[in-house]
Amino acid sequence: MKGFLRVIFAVSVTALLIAGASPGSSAAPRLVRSPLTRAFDGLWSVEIVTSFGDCNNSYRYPLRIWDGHVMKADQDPNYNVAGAVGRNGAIGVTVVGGGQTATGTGRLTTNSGNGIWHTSNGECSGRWTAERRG
Amino acid sequence: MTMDASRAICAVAGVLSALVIYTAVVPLLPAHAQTASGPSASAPRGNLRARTRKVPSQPPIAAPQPKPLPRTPFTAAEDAAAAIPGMPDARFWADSTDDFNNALPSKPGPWLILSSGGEDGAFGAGLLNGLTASGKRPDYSVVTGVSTGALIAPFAFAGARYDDALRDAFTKITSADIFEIGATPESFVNTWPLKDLIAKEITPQLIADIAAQYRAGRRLFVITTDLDAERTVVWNMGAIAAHGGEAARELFRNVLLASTSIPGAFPPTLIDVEAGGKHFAEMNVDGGVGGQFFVAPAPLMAAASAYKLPASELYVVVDSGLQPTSEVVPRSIEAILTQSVDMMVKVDTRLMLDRAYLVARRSGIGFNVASIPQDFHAPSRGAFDPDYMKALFQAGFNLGKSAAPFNAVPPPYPGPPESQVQEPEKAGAN
Repeated sequence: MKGFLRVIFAVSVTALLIAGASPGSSAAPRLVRSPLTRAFDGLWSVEIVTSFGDCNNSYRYPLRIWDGHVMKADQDPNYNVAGAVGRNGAIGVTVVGGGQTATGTGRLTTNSGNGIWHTSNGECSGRWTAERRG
Repeated sequence: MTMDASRAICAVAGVLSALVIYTAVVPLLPAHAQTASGPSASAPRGNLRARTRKVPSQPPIAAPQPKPLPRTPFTAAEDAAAAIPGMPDARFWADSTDDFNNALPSKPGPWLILSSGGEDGAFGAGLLNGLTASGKRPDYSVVTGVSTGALIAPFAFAGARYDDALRDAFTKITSADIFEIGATPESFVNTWPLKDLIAKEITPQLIADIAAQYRAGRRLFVITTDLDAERTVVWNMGAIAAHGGEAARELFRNVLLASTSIPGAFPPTLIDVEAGGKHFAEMNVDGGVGGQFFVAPAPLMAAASAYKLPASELYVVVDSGLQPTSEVVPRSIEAILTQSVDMMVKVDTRLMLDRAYLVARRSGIGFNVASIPQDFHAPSRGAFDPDYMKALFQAGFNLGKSAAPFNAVPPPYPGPPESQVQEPEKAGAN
């Protein structure tokens, strides 16, 4: 219960940046070699699972894709998301905030997606899945 | 505290929430990286074509600022008289002794009371599975549930054939199945995943089985808090199930969602009601706001009352530890709030156990309580960590299957940590 309370009160950007940072990396867009596409534009929900490292076990957060670019779906000023989706669905995302950076790569299909992620310092890594929400 | 003072504090808390988030993470990050990286620092620089395109900082549809959500105004009298359209027996106020007595089974039987507890509901789920395994689980004539206890209650009520579903519901989920990070105008996080999970787990067959048991005379009550009225509501889930149809199934699931909707953290659940031909929606939140578990209306539980529970035995399952968890609290808002609420829930639960015990005694029935064993310790990597929940489920299962799953009296009040207790010197004593 206490762990739950802690999360609720913190609404941890630690989760967003460390666990959540999953799909992201400043290098990630370089992995997107095909031209960007609007085919995946919309609101997505991404589940981040930590497979290695002492990071939160799992979190879910919203992302928006617009004109082939990936960005956060809320207005929290304390972090930033940037990335791109190629015509073939290849996606690379960087999450930066409070100094931490994480990278995620993978592939989207019409309504879902999956891939892997890791923090820039190698502290944690894992997998992510995504589902289209709108 | 006055309501105005509460509002002022909460407003400040809301303004500070972003700061809380920031201060929570910055200390954990490398110093060299603590210079904020703006959008330009992380803008895509991918393929050649991407470089030539203007990178938008925000999509146009994300720009509007949140507006206050609309509500249909209503009076206190209308709220007091409101009912669910077409289902007048769906609920009653928890302070209405007549309605409570009218809703009870005609014959005494064992009552099962399930408390709040978040992910610690895995303990109650394990306990019930263990009781089944040991052959010591009766068909409870009344089951009540608050918050996480509300999520256990339908399975507990429907019987052992739903034990596997109950186990999976508390061991195969993660926080991603409960909430999505990202504030709504009403909450810190969004609980659409929990709503989807409830829709998946609370199947039409389960609701139909609950309806059948209701017709057989058993009762399933789930507790929410009507925040508009500042009153606790008892939902007669069997009666709702017995109405049948999609509207009843939707209400059944919405009540479960409401009972778990921790105010401020999770969005409230608005439930459509009708009074005197006027339709409006009531704001329902976590039943734990009014108490961590529910046995009977407060006037009947009062120390001065002579009311006797029409039960043969009272079983209370507390899905939380009752012992203090001593730690050096970091000087941060979220840490202070976490430790404070954790303590408040424990104190409230412990006091309520005393009240339930005394009511059972004066009713001449057995009192039985099970809570998370003091020696249970498992690491937890964040909220709803499946490894933690599996360990807690197993601890509950082991206790349920043991020779003595329940205690006949409430656990002793926690004392000071033994390592810190020193007998004073009795200087000069003869």
